[in-house]
Amino acid sequence: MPLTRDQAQQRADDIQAFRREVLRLRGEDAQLLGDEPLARIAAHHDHLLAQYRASFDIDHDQQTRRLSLSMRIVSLLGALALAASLLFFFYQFWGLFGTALQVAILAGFSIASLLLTFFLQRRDSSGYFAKLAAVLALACFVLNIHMLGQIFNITPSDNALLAWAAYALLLAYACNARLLLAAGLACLLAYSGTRISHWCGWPWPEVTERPEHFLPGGLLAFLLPALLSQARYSGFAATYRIIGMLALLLPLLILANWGNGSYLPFAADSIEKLYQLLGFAASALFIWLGIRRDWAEVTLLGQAAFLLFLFIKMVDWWWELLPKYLFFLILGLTAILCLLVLGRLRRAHKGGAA
Amino acid sequence: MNARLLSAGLGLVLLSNAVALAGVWYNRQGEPEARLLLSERELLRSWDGPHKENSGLTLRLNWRWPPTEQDDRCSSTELSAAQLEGLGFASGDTEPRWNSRPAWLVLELDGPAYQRSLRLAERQLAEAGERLRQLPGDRQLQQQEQAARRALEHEREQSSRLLLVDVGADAEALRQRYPDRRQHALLPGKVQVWRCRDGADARLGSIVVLHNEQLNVPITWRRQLAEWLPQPYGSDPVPFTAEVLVGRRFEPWLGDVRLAEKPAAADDDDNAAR
Repeated sequence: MPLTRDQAQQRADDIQAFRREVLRLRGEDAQLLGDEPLARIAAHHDHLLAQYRASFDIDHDQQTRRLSLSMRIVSLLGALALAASLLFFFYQFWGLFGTALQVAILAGFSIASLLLTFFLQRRDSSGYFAKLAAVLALACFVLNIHMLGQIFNITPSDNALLAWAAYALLLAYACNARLLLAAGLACLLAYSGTRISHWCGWPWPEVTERPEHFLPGGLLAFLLPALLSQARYSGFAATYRIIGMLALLLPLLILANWGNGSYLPFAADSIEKLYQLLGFAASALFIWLGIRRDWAEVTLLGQAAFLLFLFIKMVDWWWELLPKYLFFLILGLTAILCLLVLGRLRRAHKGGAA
Repeated sequence: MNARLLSAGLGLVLLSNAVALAGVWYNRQGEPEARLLLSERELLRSWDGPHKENSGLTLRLNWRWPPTEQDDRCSSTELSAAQLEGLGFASGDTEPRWNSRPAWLVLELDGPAYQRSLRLAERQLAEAGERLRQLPGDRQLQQQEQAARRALEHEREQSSRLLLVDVGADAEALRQRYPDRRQHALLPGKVQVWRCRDGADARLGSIVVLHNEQLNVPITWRRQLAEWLPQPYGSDPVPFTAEVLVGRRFEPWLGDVRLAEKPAAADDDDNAAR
C-alpha cells in the first residue's frame, strides 16, 4: 500500500499506461501473455484502483485529473477570498464591541476554524475542503494575534512570526497542504532573519537591511528534508528545497548588485564581485545537485538563477557599450551555448541510464 | 496523530493569546511608568486606511522635533555626537554601514522645550516686525510679518506640545535624567542616520521613528471621540483631554478621556462613528 496520495496516483497512472500498452500489443499481434494471466492482472489492478480511490481519492483518468486541477485552483481562490472576507468582517464590526468581547471573538474564531479544519479532514476524503478550512484557520490566527496587538497597543514583536510559523506548519502537516507549508517556512525564515538582525544590533524590523540575515535559515530549510524524512507528505521535501533555495539565491542576487548591504568589511565593489561569483557557483551547484539527485525543482530553479546572474552581468558589461542588436545577439548566442551544454548533459544522462 | 495535532493547535492558540494578554496585564500593573494629560493638539485621529468600513478608532500620538533657528537640511533636530555615539554609531563616521539602531525616545509634554519653541516663534515675529518697521511699504516684509504672526498663533493654540527632547540606549539612565513622569514619557523606537552633505561638509542626518504611536480607543469613548474627530487631519480641532498612561513594558493606553461640549457645527450625519 503506498504511503501518500502522490504515490497512489503514480501507481494508478502506471496501471492505466499498462492497460493501453496491452491493447496496442494485442492490435499488433505481439501479445506474449495469454488471456487468463491478463484477466488475473486486470482483476488485481481493479482491486488496487478501488482501494486507492477509497483511501486517497485519486484521479482514475485524464478527465478527473483535469477536474482535480480546477478544484485545486478554486479551493485556493476560495480560501483567499474567505480569509479576506473574515478580515473585513472583523473590521466592519469590531468597533461595536467591548474589549473582552473582541478578545473572545478573536480567540473563538481561531479555535472554531481549527476544529472545523479537523472535522472536515475526517469527513472529506478529497482534502480540498479541509485545506480550504486550514487556510482560513491560519488567517483567523494571524488576525487574532495582529488584532490583539492593535487593541492593546502592544509594541510590535517578531515573536508573532514564530507563533504563525508553528501554526502554519502544524496545519500543513495535519492537512498535507504545501501552500501552508510554504507560508510556515516563510514565517520561520523571517523570524530567523529578525533574530539574527536583533543579535547583530539592528532593530528587528530592519531585517531586510542586510540580506545576509536570511542565508543561515535558507540553508537550513534546504537541508532539512535530508535530515528529517518527508516521505509521508507528498511534495513537502520539494517545497522545503524551493523555499530554502529562494532564501539563499535572492540575498545573493541582491548583494551581487548592492554591496553596501553586506556585513563584509570590504569596499562595495569587491563585495558585489564576490557575491556575483558566489551566485554563479551556488546556481551551478544547485543544477549539478538537482541532476544528480533527480530533483527537478532544484535543477529548474538553479538554471533560472544562473541565467538571471548571467543576464545581469551581461547588462553590466555590455548594455552601455554595445549597440543593442549586438547585445541581443550575444544573449541569443549565449542561449544557444546553454542549449548545447544542456543537450550534452542530457545525452550523457541518457547514456548513463542506458 | 490527528488528535495530537489538534491538541497542539488548540494549545498554540490558547498559549499565544495567554502570553499576549499576560503581557498586557503586566504592562498595566502598579504605578504607570508615565502619565501624560494630552489634548486634541497631541492626539490626532489615525488615518482609517483604504478600508473605510473600519468601525474601530485609533488615535495617533502627535509628537514633533523641537524647532530650530534655521532650516536644517540634514535633520529637523540636533542629535549630538555624544547621543549618536551612545546609540552605537561610530563617531566621525559619515558613511555608516550600520545606519539604524534601537533607541529610547524621551517625549516631553508642555515643558522647557515647548517654551523654547514658543519663545523662538515670538522672537521670529519680533524680528519680522522690526524689519517691517524699517521698510513699512515692502510687500514681502509685510507677508513675512503676517506669516510669523500666524506661526506664533499656531504655536500657542494648535501645535503639539509633545516634543522629542532626548534619545538614548539606556531607559533607566534616561528616566533618571528626566524623572518627572507627568511630563516625560519614555517610548521605544529607532534612530536612522544617513550621510548628509551640508555645503562642503558631510555629516550625519538623522530620523527618529517611534515604534508604537497608535492608541486604540476603547468602546467607552469611541463613538463620541469619532464624532469629535471626524477627520484624520482636521483643521478645526475640538477640545478634549485624554490621559495617556505608559506601562511597565513601555506600552501606552488611554486611561481617561474628557470631552468638552459638542460644537453645533459638527456634521453628525457624515462623520458619526460607524
